[in-house]
Amino acid sequence: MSGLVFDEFYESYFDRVGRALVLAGADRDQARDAAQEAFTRALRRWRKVRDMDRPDGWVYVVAMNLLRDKWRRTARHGERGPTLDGDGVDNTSAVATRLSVREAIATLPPRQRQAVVLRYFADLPLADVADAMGCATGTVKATLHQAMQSMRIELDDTEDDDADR
Amino acid sequence: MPTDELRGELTTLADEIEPFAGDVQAVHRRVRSRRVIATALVTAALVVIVASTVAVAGHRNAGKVNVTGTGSKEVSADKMSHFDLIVVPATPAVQDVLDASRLVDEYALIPHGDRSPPGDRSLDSLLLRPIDAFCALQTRDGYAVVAKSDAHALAATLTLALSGRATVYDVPFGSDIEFFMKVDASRAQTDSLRNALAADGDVRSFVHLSREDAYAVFKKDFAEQPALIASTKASDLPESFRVILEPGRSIAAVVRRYEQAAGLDTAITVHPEALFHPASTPASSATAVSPCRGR
Repeated sequence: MSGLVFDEFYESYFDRVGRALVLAGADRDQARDAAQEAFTRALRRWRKVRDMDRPDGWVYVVAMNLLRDKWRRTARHGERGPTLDGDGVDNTSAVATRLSVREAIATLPPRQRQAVVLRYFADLPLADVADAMGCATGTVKATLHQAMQSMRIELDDTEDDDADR
Repeated sequence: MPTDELRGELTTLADEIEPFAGDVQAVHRRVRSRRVIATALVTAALVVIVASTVAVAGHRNAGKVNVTGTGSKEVSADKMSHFDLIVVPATPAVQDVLDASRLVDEYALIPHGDRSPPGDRSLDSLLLRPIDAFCALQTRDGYAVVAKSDAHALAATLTLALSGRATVYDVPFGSDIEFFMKVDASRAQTDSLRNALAADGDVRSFVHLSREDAYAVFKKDFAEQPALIASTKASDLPESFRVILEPGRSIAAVVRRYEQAAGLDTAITVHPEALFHPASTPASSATAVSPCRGR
């Protein structure tokens, strides 16, 4: 990845990072700001980030941390959990099963939702999810497990033990 | 529903979200306006490092250290937000002393390498160059050390304890802040912050960096990105103040004190990243003026 050019990296991933943050519960402005700041930090240490296995993973982790800091500061997050059926999501095109997943995700506590998005949308290894959540990988597994249970999704056994997919 | 289906559903959900139009130029602008702090530590340290090479001889036993038996205090460099001392070289004997000293909070390995500032005359004169520590670090690894409380007491203790085995460089002001003005800040706003800093009891000293100074640093930081340099003028960059606090004062408190100041864009607290990741370029590159010549 040493030849990775920042501008191309940005074009490839900015949209995806923004969407991940919305899935995790951010509103559009929060998602855009956190993503932009995370990419800014990536550019500032680009030589290091570009050589990582997953430069995008680094950005996801930083952006998610920024988002959580933001929520913590505004404290709004505690009063009213972020919703998924805001302006960003077009409900009309949702089919029934999708709607049920959406509802299931929307009812998850914030930490569970973040873990699910980082693991199953951003496709980060458990260790990176743990970094983003500021906890141990074991805790991530437990959090994912709880999320899956409340969404009634069977966690593949192999996946549960796979520390570094 | 197995997890693969969840992945699929998440992707579908994400596809329904209105696309985010990125603005990569805004990222470049933001980095420009903050510049890169990566080398700021080096230059800040260049400003402040006072090599305490005294008392190398004698009193070999006077610096008896207190053994706590708590094991190694070595941490990885990215765990450090600041440091108080530099000790060169990094040897097991030095490590033993650091681990044993009650006054040491933690320390991190500094890999050897070149950290000389650009051979830019204006920058040279701006930054005093008491850089014995950096010269020592060109060829030997060292440790960055954080004091538990009193950095000066630690410097004195370690200097005695390590006498003949290592040199202790006192960086009397491990804490550091750089205040960046907005690019369009007025002269009056800049002067106002300058006066406030000069009158602030928590501030030991500060240096004002003009746009031209900023540009010199910028060119160095982005030497690998000529297009970015070409598209940037000194007038695109903000003025800034590099602030050295009195020992033991809270960085966060000082940052809060000024965060509402007119014309101020942001305050960055220095992370010693550059120290721990030296440039691989040798000091003898064509234009560089080696600061260690004759030392």
